[in-house]
Amino acid sequence: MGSGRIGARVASSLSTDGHDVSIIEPSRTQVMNLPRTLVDDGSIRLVAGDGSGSEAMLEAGIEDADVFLALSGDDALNGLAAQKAKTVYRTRRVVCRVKDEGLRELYTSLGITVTSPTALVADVILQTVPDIP
Amino acid sequence: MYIVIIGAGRIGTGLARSQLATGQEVFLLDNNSERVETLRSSFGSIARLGDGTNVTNLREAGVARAGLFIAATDNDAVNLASCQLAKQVFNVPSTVAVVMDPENATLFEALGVDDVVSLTDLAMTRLASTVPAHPVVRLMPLAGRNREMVAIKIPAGAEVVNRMLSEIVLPYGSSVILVIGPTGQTEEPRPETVLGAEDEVIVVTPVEGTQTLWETLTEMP
Repeated sequence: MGSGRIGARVASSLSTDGHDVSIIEPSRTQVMNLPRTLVDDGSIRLVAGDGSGSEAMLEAGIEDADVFLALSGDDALNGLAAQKAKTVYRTRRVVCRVKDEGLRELYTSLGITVTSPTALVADVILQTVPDIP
Repeated sequence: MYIVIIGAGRIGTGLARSQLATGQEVFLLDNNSERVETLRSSFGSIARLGDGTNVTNLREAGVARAGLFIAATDNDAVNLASCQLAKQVFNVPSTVAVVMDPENATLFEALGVDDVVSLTDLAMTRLASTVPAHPVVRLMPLAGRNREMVAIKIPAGAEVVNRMLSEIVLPYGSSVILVIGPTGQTEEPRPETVLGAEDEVIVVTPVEGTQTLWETLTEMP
């Protein structure tokens, strides 16, 4: 769910690796981030709709999904969609992108795999800084 | 009691007003500075600018000592996240979320929100009783939403008109609790009660039986 820069890139990679990918996009303007060729040849199925709405999730094939990734830029929407995938559709692996530290702890405590781009970038930057003796 | 409300829109503000009038201590958090200023100018420092999904903002609003937490923004996802934070991080004994999407009502309760108010369901209930058709009017959910109390008006010419209740086969687990005549007179249902055209029947039914119930009571011969 979410085809911003992160979602689009993840979707393209997964699709290129041979996975069956559907992407739900709550805002119509974001769709341009997806590579046209992959959408046009049907490699990525695009579903426009409410990011946490049953209609869009079912159309995207949530019932058969092995993995659900909530990658929009909206923490709360990602949290809702991820919890819905987990509790309503029993999706085995659910990953949720979250910026806010408090929400990250909350969703982790609820058993959702959380990825925080902010924390990741900070880690990478810190790794490039030489150790201070 | 100390009540924290997220969202100072019409619902949040109206709620704050009524609670203040009954002597409760109320605090509102909203991410719109204009709304916050309006509230502060009429009620004093009972509102501040902040994000209901941010732990620091919630802490500053004193959520830790709140007896009741109400999330009433127009964003269902935000309302869920803030109620979950209130519950998990601050151990608020009672959380309430307002939702627009009726689907979210059951989901949010399953996810730990103590009470969920579905605006769409409320509006539909009121509207259904004003339109001339004979829809199911859902009066209230019962027993953890597995059962509900509904009102169904019997259309003139329906198959059940002039039949006794004992002759009508209702879905398993449904029971008629009141029959209201077209002029408003109420009748306690008995097996020999005869249904008439335009009678309104109040029934407690398992949620999955509601559609069948409606069909049974409104079907034309």
